[in-house]
Amino acid sequence: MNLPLNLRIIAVVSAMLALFQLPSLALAWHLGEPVAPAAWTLVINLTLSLLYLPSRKASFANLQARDGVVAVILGWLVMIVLGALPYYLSGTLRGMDALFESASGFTTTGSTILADIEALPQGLLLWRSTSQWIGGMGILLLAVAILPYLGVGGAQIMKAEMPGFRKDRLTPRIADSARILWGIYVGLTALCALAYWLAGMNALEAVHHAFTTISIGGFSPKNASMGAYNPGIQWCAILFMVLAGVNYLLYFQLLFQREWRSLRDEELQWYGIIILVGSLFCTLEAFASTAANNPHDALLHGLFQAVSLVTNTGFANVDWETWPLYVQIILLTIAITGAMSGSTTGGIKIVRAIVLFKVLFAVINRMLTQERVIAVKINGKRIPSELLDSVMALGFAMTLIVAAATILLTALHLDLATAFSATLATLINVGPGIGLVGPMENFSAIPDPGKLLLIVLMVIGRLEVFTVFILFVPHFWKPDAILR
Amino acid sequence: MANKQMQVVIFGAGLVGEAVGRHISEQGHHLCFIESNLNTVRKIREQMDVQIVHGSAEDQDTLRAARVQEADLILAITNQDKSNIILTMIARTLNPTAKIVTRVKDDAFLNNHQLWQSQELNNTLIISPERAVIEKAINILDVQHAFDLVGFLENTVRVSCFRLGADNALVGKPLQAARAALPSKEILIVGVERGDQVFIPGGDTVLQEGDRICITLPQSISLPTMLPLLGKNYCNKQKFVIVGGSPIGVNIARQLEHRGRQVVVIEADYERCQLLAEMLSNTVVLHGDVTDTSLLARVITPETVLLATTTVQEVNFFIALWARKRGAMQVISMMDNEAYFSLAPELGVDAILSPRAAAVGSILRFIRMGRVLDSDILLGGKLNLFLTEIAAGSRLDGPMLKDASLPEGMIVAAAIQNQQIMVPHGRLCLNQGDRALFVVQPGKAPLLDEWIAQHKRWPSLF
Repeated sequence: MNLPLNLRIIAVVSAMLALFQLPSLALAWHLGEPVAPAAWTLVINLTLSLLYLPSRKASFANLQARDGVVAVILGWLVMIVLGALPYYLSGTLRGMDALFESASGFTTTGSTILADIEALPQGLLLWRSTSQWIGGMGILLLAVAILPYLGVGGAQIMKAEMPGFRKDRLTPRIADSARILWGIYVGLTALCALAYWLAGMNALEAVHHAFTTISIGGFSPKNASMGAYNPGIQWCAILFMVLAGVNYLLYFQLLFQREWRSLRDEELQWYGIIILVGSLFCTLEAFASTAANNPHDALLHGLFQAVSLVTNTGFANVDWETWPLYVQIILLTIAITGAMSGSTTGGIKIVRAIVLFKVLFAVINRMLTQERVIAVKINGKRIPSELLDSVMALGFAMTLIVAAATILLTALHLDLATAFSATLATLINVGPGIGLVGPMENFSAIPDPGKLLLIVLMVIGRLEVFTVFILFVPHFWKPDAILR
Repeated sequence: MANKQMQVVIFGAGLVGEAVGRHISEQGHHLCFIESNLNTVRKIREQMDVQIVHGSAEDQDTLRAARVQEADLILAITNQDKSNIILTMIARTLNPTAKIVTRVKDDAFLNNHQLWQSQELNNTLIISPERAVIEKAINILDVQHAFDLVGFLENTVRVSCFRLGADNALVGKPLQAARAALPSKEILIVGVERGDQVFIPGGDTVLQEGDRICITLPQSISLPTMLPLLGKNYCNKQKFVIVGGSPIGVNIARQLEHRGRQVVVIEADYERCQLLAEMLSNTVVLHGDVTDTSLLARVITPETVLLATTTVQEVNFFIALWARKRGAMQVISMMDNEAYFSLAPELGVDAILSPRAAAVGSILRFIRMGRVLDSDILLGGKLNLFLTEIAAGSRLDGPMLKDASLPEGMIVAAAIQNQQIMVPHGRLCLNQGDRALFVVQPGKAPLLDEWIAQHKRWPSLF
């Protein structure tokens, strides 16, 4: 354990949270809502920031991978607890519920505990959306980007916090890479807010939804989610969900390097195919159902649901639980795949799914012809075998987690559909599941131990499994043992 | 002769140099070799009517003795890439106007475009034996059963060589009678190799089984109808097996793959296999000992065209023979040893890919002069091909071909009139500005000029 590093991480996280809390505090004050909960949270955050002082002289020159992992996990736990304070202090939610809502926000899951969202004060609602936005790209990555004197090994942080398949740097300096990622993120959010506003949303709600669309979170200040708005806004939402699911590396290559060839990216093509195929089924069933009996509505509902699920946003503009079960399962299946790597999506990422399929193909072919040598390639480049191993291990780890969590939840007397889909919905950060936790319901029916489990799943999902799993390896705690 | 004879200097009288030099000398040009190996110098001196300067090419006296400054054409074709590049630079500084051809093997040099745009190397004609042999292989594979093929005008006119099978319409009859019985008049036989002899057939020539014949292939030709006339079967689902993942093998595989062909590559080195699997997309890459026949046996079918392109020519020889015995449709072996060239076809190897021979062919294509627009060789140099333009007032300008009385050992294989390519017949009249592809026996090349260039009508003076 690297104590000065951990102290500094706590200080940085709480200072950042304090900063991001100011808008919601100001809004509450402006609207004459009670400001005490937010103000107290601010005070607590600022007090914790003082932890910087004991660590101010520490040097972090020789950080190891494990130090980064511990720091990131600690940072996330602190973030979730501090983020839950406004809900708890305002008396809106009980302790466990507040933690669940906070975790669901920061991990961009978008599952909610609230039955009547619109009853919440505006200031608290803004905090709820803001938490998703800062969780999307990662607050520690932001720290790396804007605090050049953080002194923390940026590479380790980035590796542990940023979701992605190949964690290549965009630029030689890690801080520049972080800045570019956050820059693209902020740019997309601004565009999205503008689009919503032009399409007829009021300014505050446009910001709310821009935050939760681009972070692929799925919180909405409305009970009916996106269903509360006109079709124009819903088409905007589809567009920006799709854009948010694209690998940020592609934006970088297009905007900064003018590499038009990146548009031929294999993962991008499959992203398009998955959306098309998924929305085809949804549109057909939407057309058959009573809710949408004209082609435009059917297409809007079908495409919206497919995009919302494949990107793991979790918005809904229709109760898709009324659709046939097989379509619901299709939606959950494409949600497991998720959108492209290098975006803020959850799930295993499309590129890993492609790799898994190619490995399957290779294994079957090798069974037929022993001598055959097959290279698993993405965009014509061979994937090194270590990376293949990690993809397969991730797939297996996800399966294990889903099985274990489903067992635990059913042990709490939840039905199979609820237990299984709640596990998936939180692990892959999509939000709504089916059964008791359907798109128009909420997670309040889950017993407290179940909620705690789901919180853990959300963090595991957001940090892409291994970062958390590493904690359970005995060797992790005794790094020198292997050398003796 | 209407054409000026060229002064040619060749750096390196090695095997490629010697073969190229022989052709140049036969065409009546003045040739000077620069060679440092005394044994090679002696051999050349005994065998060829050329000048040869013994000495290091870097030496100024040697360069002066070979009169590099006055040369029209300079060939830097030693075995070493680096020497060739440096010799090219030296020659260019001495002689800014000469045409310079250099031979480079390594892709690292070939792909360095900046290098070739530099002041000294700009305007250099580059030939690569590897690329030449790959092109040759692709050309041969394009025409089933062909064992050699040269193309002109972006492959719109091709002359290809086949081995005559038994039981077909051409064998056993005088050629004139056989051709009359053929459904297609487009088949023109422009050369025959029987044993060691090569000749240009006339109407009374009787073809035999096993003759190797050269045929003009216009673009319109349909292989499925033509091949049976030669006693061969057309197969529309060929499978290509390339043994040996050398750069040559991989490039051939890649080009076949681009044409949508089914390709299998066998390579012994596992690391190399992984690289191959990455470089190729639809090709099946198999890892295994190439001399382990059990693996080969599984991939060889009657539709298989096998190319043995390992780096060891004896292994290639063996694999090709083995595949022939197992009933592969066509077996092609890469080899450079001339001793094998005559042996391999007799033992059943259908075609030989020789980087050296391909290099000679592609060097010759650069050596054009006068009315010769392009040239190449067939049957290992036993036939020369020249694409030429007919000059006004030449012997071919006007009369029907049968009345033009072309000398023995020379035939028009194709004519290009008004952008149209035609297989000539006796009543065809060529006019000035038309182009014609001649097949000429070595030694007869200097005569060609008399028929295509403006004719000095000596007889009419008297």
